[in-house]
Amino acid sequence: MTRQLVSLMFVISSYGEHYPDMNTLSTVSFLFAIMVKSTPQDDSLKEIYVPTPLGIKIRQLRKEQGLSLDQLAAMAETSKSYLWELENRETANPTMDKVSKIAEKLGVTAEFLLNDKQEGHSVEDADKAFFRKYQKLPSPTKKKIQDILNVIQDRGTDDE
Amino acid sequence: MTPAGPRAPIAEANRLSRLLNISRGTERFPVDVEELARGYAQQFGHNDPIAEVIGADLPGFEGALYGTKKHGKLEWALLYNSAIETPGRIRFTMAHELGHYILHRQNGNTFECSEADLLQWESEGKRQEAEADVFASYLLMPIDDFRRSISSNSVDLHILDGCARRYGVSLTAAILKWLEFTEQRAVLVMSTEGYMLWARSSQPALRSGAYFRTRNVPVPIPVGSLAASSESLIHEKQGVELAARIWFPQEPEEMSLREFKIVSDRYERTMSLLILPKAEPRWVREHEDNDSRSLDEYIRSGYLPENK
Repeated sequence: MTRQLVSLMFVISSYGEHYPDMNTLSTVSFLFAIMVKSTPQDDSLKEIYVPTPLGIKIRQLRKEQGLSLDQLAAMAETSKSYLWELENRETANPTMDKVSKIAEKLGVTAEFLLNDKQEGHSVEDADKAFFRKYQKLPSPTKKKIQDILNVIQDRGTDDE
Repeated sequence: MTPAGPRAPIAEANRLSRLLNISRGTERFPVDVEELARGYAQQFGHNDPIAEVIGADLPGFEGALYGTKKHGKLEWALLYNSAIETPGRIRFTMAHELGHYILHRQNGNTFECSEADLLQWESEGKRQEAEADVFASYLLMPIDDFRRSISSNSVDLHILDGCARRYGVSLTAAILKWLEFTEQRAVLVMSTEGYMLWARSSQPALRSGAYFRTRNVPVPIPVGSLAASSESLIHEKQGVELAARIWFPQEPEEMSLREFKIVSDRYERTMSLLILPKAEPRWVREHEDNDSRSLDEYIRSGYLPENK
């Protein structure tokens, strides 16, 4: 990178259509710093509430099938609190054995539940670290942010 | 220059609050963060102003502050998601970004795009996020004003809701701020599907053992609490009186608490505010149970009342 032109500082949401996803900014080539946050204090403090992609998927599938925590826990022969942890906690420690069982009961594969790859552009490795959270933003949002940044950038150049 | 250290976010927020008090008087809430952001550089003689404040419909996104160099002149833009339903959250986000601008913009270029720095970057990033949050909460809800707004002794959800409106923040943000300074024993619990996501106690509550450790093991919402009842009361702002032991088994039998409950169907979250009377010093009960000696007499006689 040559002269860096832009720096970014970020706040991320936890509530929303999607479950609190850690996320952030842009692949535009002129940024040099991004600060990410998981959840604004406004909502949930630092006692971080960050579900994993695994948790989000399990919860979504469970809801779609109209199952309560109790019901799915019983079906998958696991405890209710363990299932709650899987759905709601980043620190949850999923075992293959249990995830397979849950997957089976939800009619999906364990691989589907555990695979949290994001589709997206290939960016340089160095950028990946910074941008991996940004990449979790919905694509249209990413595009929009880039557009806005581009406009501002152009405006600056035109001005002078 | 920005003062360094953990007090810096508070000091900076208070500095702005004093200015706003002078220029706007007491009827200055909610804080107009956009105006503040735009005028800050001029007010304090910085040559890299926040030149743009832009709201856009950006699903999944909250806010960002970024700088552009235009022919050698640095300018900043504050970008936020204007489609978030609650204006309180937008205000908080904007104040948070303003906090980054005031507190951290000089540090911006210390970050290198390398894997090796990532860990350090993350912890540094987290610290800065926390500082921006503190700044935002003090800017939007100055404690002295908050104290005056709730001069009444019996705080309830109605009163706190009034504060949230006064400051234009979410109810959660207002309650968390109140918990920072209240002399009352109070605990806020956020839960989903029967377990606590997080909990926060006021200092007096913490000292009396009224708190929950929610980080590691899922803590279930206790049976018999209002939070655990499936009644579809959307708002329970009046609260109900319950035996304190339902939530806190170590409380004396005769101790009661007031539980308030708000349910968000959309996010399947239940917010519970628990307000307890002052902790009853153990010696008072000993004293009442056993004899009529005053504490003074206990002390003078060097006879320490025992804990039950």
